[in-house]
Amino acid sequence: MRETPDFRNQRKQPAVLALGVVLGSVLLWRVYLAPTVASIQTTREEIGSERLLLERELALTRQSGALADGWAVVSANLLARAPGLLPGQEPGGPAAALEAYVRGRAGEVGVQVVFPSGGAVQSDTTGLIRVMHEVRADTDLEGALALLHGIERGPKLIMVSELDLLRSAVDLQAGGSAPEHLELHMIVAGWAMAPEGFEKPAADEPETNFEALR
Amino acid sequence: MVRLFGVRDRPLLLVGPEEVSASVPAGRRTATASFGPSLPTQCVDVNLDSSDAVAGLAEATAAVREELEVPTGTIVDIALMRPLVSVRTAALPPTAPLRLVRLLEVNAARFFPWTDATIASVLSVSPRRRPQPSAPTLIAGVRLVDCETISRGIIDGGLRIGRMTAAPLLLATALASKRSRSQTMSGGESPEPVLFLTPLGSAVEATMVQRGQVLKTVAWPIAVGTGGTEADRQARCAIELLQLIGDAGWAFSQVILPDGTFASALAAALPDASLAFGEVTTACMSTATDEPIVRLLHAGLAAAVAPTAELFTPDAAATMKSRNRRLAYAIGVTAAVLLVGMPGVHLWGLGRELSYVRDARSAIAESAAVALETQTTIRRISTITDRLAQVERDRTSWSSMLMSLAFELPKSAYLLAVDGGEDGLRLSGVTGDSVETREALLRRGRSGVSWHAAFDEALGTVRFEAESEVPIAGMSESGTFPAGESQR
Repeated sequence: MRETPDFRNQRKQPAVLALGVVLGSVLLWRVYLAPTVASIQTTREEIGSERLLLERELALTRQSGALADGWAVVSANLLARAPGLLPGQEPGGPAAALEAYVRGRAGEVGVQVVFPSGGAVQSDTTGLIRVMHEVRADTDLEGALALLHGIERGPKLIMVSELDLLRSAVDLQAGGSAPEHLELHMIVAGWAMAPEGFEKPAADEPETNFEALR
Repeated sequence: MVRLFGVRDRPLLLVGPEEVSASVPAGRRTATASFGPSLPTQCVDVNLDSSDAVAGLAEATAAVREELEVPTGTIVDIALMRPLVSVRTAALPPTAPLRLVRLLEVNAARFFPWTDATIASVLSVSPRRRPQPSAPTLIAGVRLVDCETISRGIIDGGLRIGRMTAAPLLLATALASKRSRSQTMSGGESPEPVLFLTPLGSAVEATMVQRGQVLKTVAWPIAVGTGGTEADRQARCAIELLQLIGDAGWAFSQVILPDGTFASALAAALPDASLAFGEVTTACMSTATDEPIVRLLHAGLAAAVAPTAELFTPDAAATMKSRNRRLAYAIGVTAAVLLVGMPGVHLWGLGRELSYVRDARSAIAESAAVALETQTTIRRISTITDRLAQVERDRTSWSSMLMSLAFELPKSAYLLAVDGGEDGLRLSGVTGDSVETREALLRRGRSGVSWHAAFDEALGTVRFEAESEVPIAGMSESGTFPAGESQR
């Protein structure tokens, strides 16, 4: 008896083989190829960013000579302007220095000044801190002008941001014949170097009280 | 025992439509066994696809195997006789033997126009290993179903099949090979074409050879039931074949016959035959052997170009299939390795590139950090100095402004209040000449000045208020304080 080939199974073999190839391909893609392709993409991006950083760093190192020259220039500028800054970097230090400086200038021209409130400190994005103080004084016009002149022309960089001069009612009633008597109220501001990492005022200090000062 | 038979000394099994003959060349022994059913003499389309044929062939194979004392499982070569195989001449391209076999397989129906021709065998009779385009090439074809039946019968008979080829091709090869011819016969060395007549089973083969090159071959079946001995029937068949050849116009100088009873019978019958050749000279093989044809077959088998002289037996087909599978497996594995390996190699290369860039960064990291810090510090200091310069440039000089106002206001006017800030300047005072006072305030080009004046009955003078929206900055710095004018 001649054997009959199993044609049905023979016909199924290519389909089973194709199915196996498809499933194997999908499995290979999911398990190996897709993660590898993702890794390749990630590595390429890393290479791109690293190359960009390398180019920047190389350009930076090539500018070392120019940087040295620039350093010398800005250092000289800073040294020239350093006397105009208020001393002290710790919180409260510049405010006290500003108060002492204004009091000293007032004393030189014979004006008694009062600081009714504590100083306000405001950080500056440029690396400076701005210290503000409210100043009151009872003086005549000559004293007021001498005080203002002394503050503005002194060695420290002080700015009078607000100024109120008021002639007293006594003078008005006297019709200008009585001795001059002025109420002086002003807000002075000075600058100091911010300490390293100083971005905000300390928690116990108000960030700004300009409105209150006015 | 099996190992005693090398490839060149294998037993040869000559399979015809009615009988099986086995021969062992070492001992020059032959054995023949018939099996049924007998086949029509001129049947070309022989069909052995039956269980009876397989059983009969197996029985005959076992008989000759036992007679020749060939052990079971011995590998034997198979030579198929007409009409189991069909032989023809074809001009084939100069192709490598193995590719030529594949070509013939694909075009089997073209060379052998059977309805189910599925396989072909080719045997080049050229003495060179590769067929020449100008040389005729004998090719033999066999139906696959017959090939399978014969293989099954021989295997059932206790033997294993080595090579399976066509007997006419082995004869042609032996006749075309000088070495084989010198070992088995004389003659055939003439430059003129010679005709070899060889009885082969149920037919007589005629092969025309010139200088070792087979020019033509043809077979004619032996008529059965016509009386006389087998040699007489073979002789009559040979005469009929010679008549056909004469009619076909074959030109040859000599007819060479195998030694034996066939030659004697043909020599006796030739004078009475009316052949178109006129005088035909005959020569016989010099070696007087019992089975010269078998010797020819063995010689042809030894001289055949091995890859092209075989039919595809099931074993050979399995071997080729296995080889193809191995090749496909190797290609698949290579492709898979490439598919898996290429992304990995690419990723490895990218990793090396990344490490190279990182190493380059590390080499200059220190100097770059210093330069970056220097650059950052320079920028920071520049920002600070620029800011300080801006503050110094933009700050209001109140003392200069107040002194300027004191000088510019008329003597009849004096200020009561000054309120200045970043948003502007407000002045209030009294004056005896409001027009002159207003002109004095506007004289220096101050813009945005609003002016309001009214007579104050209590004070008995004009009270005015002026406001400038623009902050007053950078007023003229007129030097020292004017002490004499302080009452204003």
